[in-house]
Amino acid sequence: MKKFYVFIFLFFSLALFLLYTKSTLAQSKTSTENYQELLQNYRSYQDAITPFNTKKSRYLTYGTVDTQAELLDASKNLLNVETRAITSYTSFIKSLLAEATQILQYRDTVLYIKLDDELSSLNIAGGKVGTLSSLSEAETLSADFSDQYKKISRIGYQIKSIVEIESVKKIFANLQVEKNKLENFLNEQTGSTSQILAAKEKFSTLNQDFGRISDLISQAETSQKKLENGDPIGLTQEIWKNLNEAKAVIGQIITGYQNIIFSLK
Amino acid sequence: MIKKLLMILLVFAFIGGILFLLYVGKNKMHAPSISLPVPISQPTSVPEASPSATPNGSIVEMENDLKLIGNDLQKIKEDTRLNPPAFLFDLGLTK
Repeated sequence: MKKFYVFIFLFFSLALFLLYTKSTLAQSKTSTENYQELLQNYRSYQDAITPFNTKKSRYLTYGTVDTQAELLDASKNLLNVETRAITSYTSFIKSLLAEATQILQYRDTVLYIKLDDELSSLNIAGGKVGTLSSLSEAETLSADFSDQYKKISRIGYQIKSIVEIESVKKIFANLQVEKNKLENFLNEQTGSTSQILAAKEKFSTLNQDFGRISDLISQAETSQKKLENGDPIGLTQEIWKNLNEAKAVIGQIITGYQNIIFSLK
Repeated sequence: MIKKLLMILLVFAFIGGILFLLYVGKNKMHAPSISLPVPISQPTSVPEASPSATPNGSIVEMENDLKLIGNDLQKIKEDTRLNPPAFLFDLGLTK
């Protein structure tokens, strides 16, 4: 009898473990997989727009019960594929942030919590689509989606900014390592040929831009902190303007260093 | 008989405890351990280059590192996947 209880206990434990593992693994798609899913679902959404517009025109022209019923079905279909596409976008940005977190310095978990909340709300809202019984209900639900998508888009812009800023910071840090190496290398060159002197001068000129890059990254970080409450599109443009300038200067320094190295070969 | 009943109760209490822990774990939205990602492969949009930390690099080593840094820079310049896609929310059904 004792063996039986042990067996039952092991069986339940194993079943629970398997269930838990399965649900955990189901959430762990890569950003590439999630992006492919987003593309697919967004295409389905775009495909649903034309039939919806056709049904809407018919309803506005004839105003019959049949055309109204057809429009309600088309609206439900549109809202259904829309929910799926928005859910895919939300999952994609979450997985991309997750991957970036592993490589970059960003360690905050607030955005994950917010995205989990949005995914739960989308799940609930998706369930409501099937129960819609009138056009006004469909319109109201669409307005709710609009409000929710504004929040998700804001998070999307935040993540884009975070990933870009942290990426530029990492590239800049890597460049600084190369700067130190090149500096040590040039200091070891005891000769005073015009080539070595020119290389040292060019190196010194290029290094003057390091401060500028730091300033541009700091400005981008300041704008990024305002994204929580400010205008997401305006602030994102500000961030990209600063980051693009920083990237351009980094690119010039890389080319300059490559030129120095080539001349000393 | 009482002993058997106690054993059954213990087993169920244990299973109930595990279920409770799982339930709490799943619903505790503010616990980062739930929201945090499980290991995933590296994306293409973040830098991957890690220059070797040796203070005195050789010319070839520095050349390779700079090439990798340049590639990373190019990658993040081209990534537009995070831009939110556009949706039609004003259905115009009740006009």
